[in-house]
Parts: sequence; C-alpha cells; structure tokens
Amino acid sequence: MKDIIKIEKLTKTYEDNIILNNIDLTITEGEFVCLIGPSGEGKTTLLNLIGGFIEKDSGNIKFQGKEIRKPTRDCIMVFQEFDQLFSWKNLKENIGFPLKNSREKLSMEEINNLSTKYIEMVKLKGFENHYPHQLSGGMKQRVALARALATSPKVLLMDEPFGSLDAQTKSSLHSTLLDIWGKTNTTIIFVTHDVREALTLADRIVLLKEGIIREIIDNNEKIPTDKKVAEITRLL
Amino acid sequence: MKNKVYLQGYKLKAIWVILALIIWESIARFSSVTSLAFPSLTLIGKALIESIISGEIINQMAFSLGLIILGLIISILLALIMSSLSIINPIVENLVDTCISIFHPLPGIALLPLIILWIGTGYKAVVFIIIHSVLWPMILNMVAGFKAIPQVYKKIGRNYEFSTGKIISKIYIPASLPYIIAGLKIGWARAWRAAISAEMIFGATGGKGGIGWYIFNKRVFMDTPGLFAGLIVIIIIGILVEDLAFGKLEETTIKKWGIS
Repeated sequence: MKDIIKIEKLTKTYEDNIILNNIDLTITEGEFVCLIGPSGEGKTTLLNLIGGFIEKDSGNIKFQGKEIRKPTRDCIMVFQEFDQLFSWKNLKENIGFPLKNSREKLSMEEINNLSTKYIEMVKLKGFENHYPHQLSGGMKQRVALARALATSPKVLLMDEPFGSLDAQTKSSLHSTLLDIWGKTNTTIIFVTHDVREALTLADRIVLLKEGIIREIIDNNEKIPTDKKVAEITRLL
Repeated sequence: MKNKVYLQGYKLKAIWVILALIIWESIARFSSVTSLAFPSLTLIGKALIESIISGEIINQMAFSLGLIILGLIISILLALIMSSLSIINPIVENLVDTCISIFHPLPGIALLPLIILWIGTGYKAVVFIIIHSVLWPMILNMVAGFKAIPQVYKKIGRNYEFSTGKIISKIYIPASLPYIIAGLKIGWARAWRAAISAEMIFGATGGKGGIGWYIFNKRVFMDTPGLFAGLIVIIIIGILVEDLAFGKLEETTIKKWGIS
C-alpha cells in the first residue's frame, strides 16, 4: 500500500501554547485511522491541518507527496455539527450539491444516479425530499457522510461525527461506516475521544496527549473488549 | 390546527376593521363634523369607484409601483454587491460601515432640496430617494445575515474548492435568506414612504404623477373623499404585498426549510 498522508515534524501553536509538537505520522491508502486523546490535546487541530483549513507553524503535511496548503476535494471533512447540512436543500439536494457544483460538469442524470446511490448506501431511501429540520441527529450525520462520499474523495476526515449521538444510533452508524469503508476503500481519519468507538472502527489508533503522539496501536481485530478499553484509557 | 388559528386571527382582524368602519360612519353621520373634514364611507366609496372607473387612481398607483419596484431592484443589487464586498475585504467593510453611519440616519426627505438642485424633480429624483431609503437598512440586514452563517458552511465551501463568488451565491445568500427577507420587508415599507413623500413634493413642482401626487392634489382641491380613496388603495396594496407576496415567499422558503 502507498502512503497517502505523510506528516513530518509538524508543530502548531496557539497564543504561545504548543498544541502539536514535532508530530510524525504516515497513513497509507485505504487505512482507517482513529486519532484519540483527551479534549483539547490537538486531535481536531491535526485534522484541520490535514484538511488544509489552518496553517501549520513548521514541518510538513503531504498528500500523495504534495504539500497541503489549502482545503481540496481530495480530503473531505465530515464535521461534528448537525447544522453542517444546508437547511435550504432537501436530503437529495444536499448530497447532489457538491456534484452539481463540481468542475467535472456532470449531467443531471449522473448527479441524480450518484445521489441515489449514496442515499441507499447510508440507508436513507424514502427520505429524499426531507429537509434537514425534519431529520434526526443520526440521519443528518448519515446525509453528511453521503455528501462527503459523493465526490469520491481519496481521504475522509471525520471530526467526532457521532459525538452527540446516543449509543444505539452510534452503533448503527459504525456498521454503516465500516460497510461503506469496505466498499469504497476510502482512507478515513477519524477523531474521537471514545476509546470503544476507536476500537470498533480503526485499523490503527493514534494516541495524542499533550501535543505529541504517545502511542500508535494496531487494531486488526476491531473487537472492543473491556480489557483493551481499560488498557487504552489508562494511557490517556 | 395551525390553519384554524391563522383563520381566527384573520376573523378577529376583520372584526376590528368592521368596528372601526361603524365608528367612522357614526361620527360622519351623527356628529357635527363637516363632511369636508370627515366624509362618510359612502362618499369615500363613491370617490374610490369613480377613480377606478376613470382609471386615474390605477394609473397613479401603477406609476408609483413602477418607481418603487425600480428603486427596490437597484437597491437590492447595490446591497448585494456592497454586502458581498464588505465580507470579503475589511477595507470595503470599513467603507460600507462609514457610509451606513453617515447616510442611514439621514431621512430621505431631508435630502429633497439637494436632490432637486442636483437631479431636478423628475422620476429619477423619486427613484434616488427610494434607493437612499432602502439601501442602508438592506445592507445592514444582509451583512448581519452573512455574519450569522454557521462557520461550518464556509468550511464546506472551501473544502469543495468553490470560488469566493460561488461561496457567496450558493451558500451565503440562501443561508442568510431570513435576514434578506426581513431587509426586503423593511425596504418595501421605506420605499413606499419615500415614494409618496417625494411624489407629493416633486409632483407639485414638476407636474409628475404617482399616488403621492394624487393624494396631494385631492387635498389642494379639498376633495377629501378622493384623498381617503388614495389612502385606502395604499393600505390595500400594503396588505396584499405584506400578506400575499412576503407571506408566500416566507411560506415557500424559510418556513419550509425550518429556518424562520
């Protein structure tokens, strides 16, 4: 597998506080990586840097060998906020929005087919004409996921997307996300502070604490046993 | 349930209007006030029908509405350009803020002598007054709307590599529609006032028409029922635009989207 994201000696500070200190991390194509750590320890900052939303102080972040300087369609972000959906567009229009406004100039039929494909993928068939205010929190995050996938990004950046959901909805979304990941082979970088969630989803778990990577844990089984949860929690 | 409450609201409003009309007619018929100052509803109705049949009031109203719509369209376009530039560039934002501080508190009517001096008394002067009255509150609302947009929308626009123009047209404008509609409502009300005030003065000096000029003319000739007929038409147009045009616009947009 080829490297898709390569981070070298990355440092970021906010008003004299070191948020990320000399970070090195390589992510390969098709990998599912979870960034985990206590609140305020730089997980979201790292995701925003990979997405090109903020500027680094020093170091390198490369996507397929090229320095990331601004947000691109190659790395699409799914945010935690429920209001990330456009309130003036229904579910199908929200998913079709990036397709309709892409440089590729897709036909209406192609946009329609792709939107339908991703609606089915996130299991929201029958809700096409619903507006965001008519959807539950979990459904909104499903739509956000479908919209992010619609343009076939190489990397999906997910910033605690299920953080505000109840356990049952979260579990259902985990299954959907793993299913989609299996089908699309998109590289996923997922921020969470929930150890069990990280153990359920990730190939590798990156522990961030006090601005540095404390540990990188391989997680091939993806079974969140109580023992594993306790072990990782101790490290945080 | 909602429709029932809505209908009840209308019924209650109708009762208030009928009550006011009864009081009006009683004063006109049974008090010592002269019909020249306080004409009966019959006289007002007669004057209104005669004006409609002769086409006078309709022509004058069409003239005024034409000026108002022209002024509103120019104001909306100017407000869109200025608000968009204002959120893109801090220097333009400062310039727009300065203009608002200077011109927004300045009543259009206070500018009339200067406008007569610079532009004359034609329809252009009326349109100028309308633009001045509408533009500043419209910009204030649009900029407030643009600033209230969730940060996440802007990030999404950047993530999809949209140009600044596309972010404004595809995200900022629809996302701030509640503010834009509120600005339009204020703009419409102010445009009416500005147009009527300006027509009363420019019409009298330049001989141009409009509903303001119509009302002014009726007063000059002491045709009080005709004067009230003009006022009634203004009220009816106001209600129609407020309840039907803006009501429908809100119904099909911000209420439907759950952002009202």
